[in-house]
Amino acid sequence: MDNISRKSNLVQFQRFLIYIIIAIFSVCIIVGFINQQAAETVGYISVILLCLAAPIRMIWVGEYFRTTKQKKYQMLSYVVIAIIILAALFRLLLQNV
Amino acid sequence: MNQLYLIAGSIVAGFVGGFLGLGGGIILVPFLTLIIGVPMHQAVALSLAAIMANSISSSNEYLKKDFVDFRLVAPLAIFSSIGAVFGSSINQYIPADYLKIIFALFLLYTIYSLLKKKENTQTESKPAGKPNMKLICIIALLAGIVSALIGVGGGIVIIPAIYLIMNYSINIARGSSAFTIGIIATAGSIVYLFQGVLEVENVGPVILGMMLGAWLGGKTGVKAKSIVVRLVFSIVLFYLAARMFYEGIN
Repeated sequence: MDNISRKSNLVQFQRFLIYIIIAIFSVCIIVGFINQQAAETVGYISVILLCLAAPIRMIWVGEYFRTTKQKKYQMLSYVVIAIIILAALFRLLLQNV
Repeated sequence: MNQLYLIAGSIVAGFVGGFLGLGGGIILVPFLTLIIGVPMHQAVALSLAAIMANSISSSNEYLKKDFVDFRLVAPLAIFSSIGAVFGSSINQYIPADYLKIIFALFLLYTIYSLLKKKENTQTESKPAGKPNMKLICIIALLAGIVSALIGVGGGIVIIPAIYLIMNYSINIARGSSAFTIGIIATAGSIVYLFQGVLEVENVGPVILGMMLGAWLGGKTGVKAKSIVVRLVFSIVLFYLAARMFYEGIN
């Protein structure tokens, strides 16, 4: 499998993500016009879903390196995910202290 | 805050950004603060959230043409996300006026790079070998801090560094940067979200407005790339920079 066909899976996935983003944030706007408090809840959930896109994309990058047998870069991709998760956990912890 | 104003402002910011081939943040932050009246810290957080979504659509175009080098993306993403977490954490302790001054200086640099920009037709990547890790660390850290601190994508730091210093092709530089920017923005946005700086109900209008504006700007910008257009927009950017600076020092 060549580079372009490997990456075409990610292209399709990202296109799907764009549709999801448009859908969820359109809902946010509509809810915002109806009920401001509900818009905050929907907005919070939508932003968290949007934040999940980056780790998912990095998982895909890690898989790409696994199939091309580049272990070092595969590990680096997983480190990125760990940093994002740690940052989120650390902030949550600070919020609750 | 009126969501219609936010949508309209974001469409305009996205359009200008897409038209000039700039990241959205460099236009969105001054639009939100100067024209719509959003406080600086919130504008930075909103801009980063919009960049998260924009990076997905912009990097897709480069992925299709195999212009994203994941061997560059992985180390860039590590150090830039560390920088972004740091930048967004210290943002709260920097007064809005100082942020405005920093942003104005950054806008001036953008004007400079916009005016000296040359049309590049090079499409093939140069044989770059293994990326220089030490250099990547420094560039990525800097890009992450700047990006999260003032709400810009970080491409303006990453692209020249990859292209001019590391000798990759301009397309690889743009593609890898477009992909990495989304990771930087996510790391910064998570911190802003849990700090309570990010006004979640305003994210939707900004993201959708920016996406629509960038799409329209991208379509129109292809037809008009002359120096005259860049000069006209540079004057607009200079006005925004001057106002940001003025508000910062007052």
